[in-house]
Amino acid sequence: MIVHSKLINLVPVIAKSNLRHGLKEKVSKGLNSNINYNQLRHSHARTMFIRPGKFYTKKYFDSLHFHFCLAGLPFFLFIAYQNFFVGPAILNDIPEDYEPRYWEYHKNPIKRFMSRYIFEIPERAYERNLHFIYVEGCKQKMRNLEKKVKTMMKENQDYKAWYYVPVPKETLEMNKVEFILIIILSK
Amino acid sequence: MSSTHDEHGSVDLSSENKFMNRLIGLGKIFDGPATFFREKFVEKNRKEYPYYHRNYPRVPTIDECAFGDHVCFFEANEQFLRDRKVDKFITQILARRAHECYIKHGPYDGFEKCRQLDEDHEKALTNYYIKYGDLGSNATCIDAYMKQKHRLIWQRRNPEKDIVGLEKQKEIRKEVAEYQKRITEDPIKA
Repeated sequence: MIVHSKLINLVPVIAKSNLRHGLKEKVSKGLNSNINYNQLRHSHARTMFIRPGKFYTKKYFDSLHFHFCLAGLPFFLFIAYQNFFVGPAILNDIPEDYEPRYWEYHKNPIKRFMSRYIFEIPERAYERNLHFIYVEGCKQKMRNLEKKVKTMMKENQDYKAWYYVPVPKETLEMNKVEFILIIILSK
Repeated sequence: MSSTHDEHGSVDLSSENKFMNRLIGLGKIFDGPATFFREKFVEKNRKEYPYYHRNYPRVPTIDECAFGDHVCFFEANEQFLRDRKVDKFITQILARRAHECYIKHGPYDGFEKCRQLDEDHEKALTNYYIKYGDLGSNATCIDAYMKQKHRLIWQRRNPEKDIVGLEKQKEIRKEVAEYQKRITEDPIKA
């Protein structure tokens, strides 16, 4: 039931249908049954305040808060502690008769900690790499030597090793007659 | 603004210009609370501790290494790459100095007053090119060694020719300076 009365001015109307105009009484039946009219039954002035949903904003802030508390705040506190109480190192000249330890070449205290306790000593790694280079060099030289010996044996055919194929006695005996004939004829 | 970047960590923020001084004062509004907080709370709770720059000892260069000595070659190569980096930074520092001189004096006066810095920069660039140029980023010490060898042989075979052309560059600069002087004195005539 639609009423055109003074009460209509008090009610905040957010959603109005486009079909509503004039003072004609329109019955919400059939095709018009899904249209929301502002129905007044002299009960109260409160209507639903239609506004956008809060689900997504709340979810966003909730997950933001979650991640901040889990990771952001601890890291922030850790870095604040580091910068207030520890601080970065100060560059100095190397004093004589003193060899700085391998972690004292870094400025950041976290890097110092990591290089001291987590990563390996760079001097040790360097010497180990030099050792590997030396060993590979030795192997290379041996391989080159072997190659050279092989080629020389192949060219000269004067050594009983890779390319020596022993001749069996039977082949010589097979060709013995021809050999003797050649000698007799040449003489 | 006379800011000298030669000293590490100290910038001279003073000038005769009132406008610049006022701008600097505006910056100090942001700087004040930070320095106050630091001096009162932070510096008292910290202990100073040092860090050092690595001091690489000199090792034999490639011309002192025996053929087949791969370890010697490796160390010489590392030294070569370090030297190349250092030389690159030297050229950049000289470029920065010349550029700052031009900023201070302007392009007109800078042509006279910054000439020495310009020449130093160009000399450093030419020497860098002679030693490391056109070898590529994957260059080894052997490449540079061979380049030097070929250059010396070429110089021995062509004693009169001059590829570098530093003297020619000097003459060109002199001519341009004289032209500039003539133009300023009498723009219509010259």
